[in-house]
Amino acid sequence: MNLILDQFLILAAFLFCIGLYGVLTRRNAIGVLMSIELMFNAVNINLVAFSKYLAPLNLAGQVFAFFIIAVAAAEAAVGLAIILSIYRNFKNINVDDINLMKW
Amino acid sequence: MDSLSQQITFYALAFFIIVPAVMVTRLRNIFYAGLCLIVCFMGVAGIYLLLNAEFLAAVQVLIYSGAISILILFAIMMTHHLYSKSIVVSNEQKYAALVLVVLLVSMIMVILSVTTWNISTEKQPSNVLQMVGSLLMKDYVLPFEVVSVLLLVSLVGAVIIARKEEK
Repeated sequence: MNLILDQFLILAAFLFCIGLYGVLTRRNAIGVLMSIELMFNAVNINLVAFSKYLAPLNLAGQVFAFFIIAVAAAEAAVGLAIILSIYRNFKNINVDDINLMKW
Repeated sequence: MDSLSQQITFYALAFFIIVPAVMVTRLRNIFYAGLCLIVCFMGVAGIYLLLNAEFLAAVQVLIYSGAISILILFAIMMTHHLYSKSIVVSNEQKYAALVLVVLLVSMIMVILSVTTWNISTEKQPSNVLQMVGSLLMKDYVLPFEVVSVLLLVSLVGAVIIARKEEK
């Protein structure tokens, strides 16, 4: 039995939902950022799997995965810089406690 | 690779993705969670190898397991006194989030079970890397250049945000 598309999609769905759970429940801001990276990875698995199984001659899925990795790197750099700046000002990076801009 | 060893490889990789991913969201010590994240990224690189995306697997190892993980671990070490035995990992939305996530997974499963994919019968060409390179330089050259500008902007922005303000 060869590998089929649905296996990769189910794996990506589980990974995405674990990342979503982490984003919703983690209190540490760096933990939230790590969970977002998990969600990016799930999306990339989906793109590459669709590219291989549905359009093997058109590799646009892989190209978009590259772009997502580049954007994720930019996001991680800026996000961690913001977290360090928050830490310097509040001595705390719990997302529950940082409510300065919340109405 | 024959189909049986492909299946075994897939399930082993899935194990090494899902279990560290759960640990990333649940571990009390955020530094160990960061190390689990590296294992998870390596597993995803293995999945790319199974999908004949060798260059993407190399990029995944270099950028995710290398660069982004190190960035995250450094940020954890700069805020390191924040984890201790008594710290609460999750907020009070824990159960609501669990219900939401289980609903989302089951919805995706239902959608997958009723969808019939138009699976292509063509074989993937052997020169995948060459084709990706020509796509990046021909069809997608504008997004390619925009991404390079984005990386430059985020580099400068990260330096400006993270540096100490002068009194």
